[in-house]
Amino acid sequence: MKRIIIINSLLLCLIFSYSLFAQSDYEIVQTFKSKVTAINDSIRHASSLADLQEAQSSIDQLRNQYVDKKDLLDKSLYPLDFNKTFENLQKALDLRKGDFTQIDVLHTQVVGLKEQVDTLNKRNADLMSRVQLLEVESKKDKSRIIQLERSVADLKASLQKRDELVISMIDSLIPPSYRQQSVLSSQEKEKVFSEAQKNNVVNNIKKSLQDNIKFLQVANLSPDDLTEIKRQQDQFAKVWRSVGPHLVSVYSENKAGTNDLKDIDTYFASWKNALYNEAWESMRVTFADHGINLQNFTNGKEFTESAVSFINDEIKNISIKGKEEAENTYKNFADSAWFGEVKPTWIPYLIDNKMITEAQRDSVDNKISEWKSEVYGGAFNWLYILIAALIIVVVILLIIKRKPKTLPPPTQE
Amino acid sequence: MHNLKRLLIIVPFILSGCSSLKLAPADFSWPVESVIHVDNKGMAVDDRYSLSFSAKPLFLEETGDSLGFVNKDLRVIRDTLGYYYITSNNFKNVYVFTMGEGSFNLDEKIQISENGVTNPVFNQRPPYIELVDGDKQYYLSNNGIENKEK
Repeated sequence: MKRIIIINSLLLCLIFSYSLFAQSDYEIVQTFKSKVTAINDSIRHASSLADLQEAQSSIDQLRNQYVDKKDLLDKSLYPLDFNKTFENLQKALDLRKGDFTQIDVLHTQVVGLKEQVDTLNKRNADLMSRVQLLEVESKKDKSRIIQLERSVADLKASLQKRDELVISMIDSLIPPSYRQQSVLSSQEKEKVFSEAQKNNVVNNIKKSLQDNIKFLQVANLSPDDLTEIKRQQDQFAKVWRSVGPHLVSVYSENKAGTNDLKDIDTYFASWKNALYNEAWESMRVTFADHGINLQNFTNGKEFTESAVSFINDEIKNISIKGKEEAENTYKNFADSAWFGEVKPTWIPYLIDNKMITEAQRDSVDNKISEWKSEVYGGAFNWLYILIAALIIVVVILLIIKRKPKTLPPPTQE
Repeated sequence: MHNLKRLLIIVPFILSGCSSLKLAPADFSWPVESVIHVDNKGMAVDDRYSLSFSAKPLFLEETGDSLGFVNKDLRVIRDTLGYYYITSNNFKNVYVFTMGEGSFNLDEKIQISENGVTNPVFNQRPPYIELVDGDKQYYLSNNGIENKEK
């Protein structure tokens, strides 16, 4: 018993000497946890590699400060422990460092892209004027058509290349790590703004959109061209949707750029409209090339009404115009324009893009059949009557020939 | 005499058959105290140890006020043997509880100060529980204050 009392007394002495500056273990643990949270926050909100270096020294300092309390923290930080807590901090720091390395690489990329875009902008401007000139000349001189087609193809490829570069430029401007954040810090905003200004990104986007609109206006394109442009437009819009809101928040603090961003939205809408109208305009030109001048149309309903109204007028005027002219108009409209070009090339594109319905296409088909029977109907009727009359005559003759001759009544002998 | 010898041989076996299973040694100590806020229904709920109990009777016992628990925190710690030590700001006592069936049963009420403790904290100092009250420290066991130093 005496021994137990001595041991207990010694133990208490030890404890007392330790706890001259007694402190709450709970407070130690809580303070440690809040310091870890603060370092985590500083890592998350770091806006440069220098900030991360500061965070690294805070981690090292914290470890040295609390290494004496490792036992207490090992027990109290469940499910983590002292070492695991520092491992997690280090992982978060290394991951964020990766973001900054990526950001630096992307910014270098933007500068490289700018030079290429500038060169392509000049080339596209030259090609655009050339195409415009050739469009006019090809109407007078058919030999220019091949030259025009080649220039249009060049311009299309060049515009596409420039657009892809601009898309890469926009993509590189806001790194993926920034896009995941709902709000950018003022330092991040400043960085994006200065990069965007330095590389003229917003103006390049505007220029790209304007050129695409102009291209649709000057060149006469095929459905395949329009499908390709639509794909490109969707890709552009997708990138803009993911980056645009961030650029808006970046530019909202700089009044000068806000209008540019509004312009971009307007140009996007105009480009979309221009692409939509280009299909109808190309169809109208196809009919016009065959001497058929339809009333203007900008949608499936208007086109159907315009075609049906044209055919109705033609049907009414058959007797006035004369048979030969009516047939010529029919051939130009139906055989050359509608069945020759519009129906096989444009209608599938329009149906795929929900610009015209199958019912509207069928109503034009039916009207053309009606027109055909009106134009060629007379000749057919006479032919049918003649054939029918011949058949009747032949049948009557056969009946008469085959009718058994009535035998004379037997003579009575 | 012969029968007595037989009995002496049999009794240990009978006794060992009756004794309950014991897992020893066991350590129930919490590394640090829990600071548990008492909600407006008088319940103290600790997430880490999945512990909850009604603190109303404790405040009634300590302060004589049935609403004394409002906006109060309890400091709770468990020692190696499994006793729970509970106190709060301005309490005169530390309450030592054992676990009952769905309840805490008071084992010891240790008087610390006649004026009440200010900002008390518990630390685990096996085999004792340290109570720090400002510049005063007390070493407690389930039997009371083991030693006291100013």
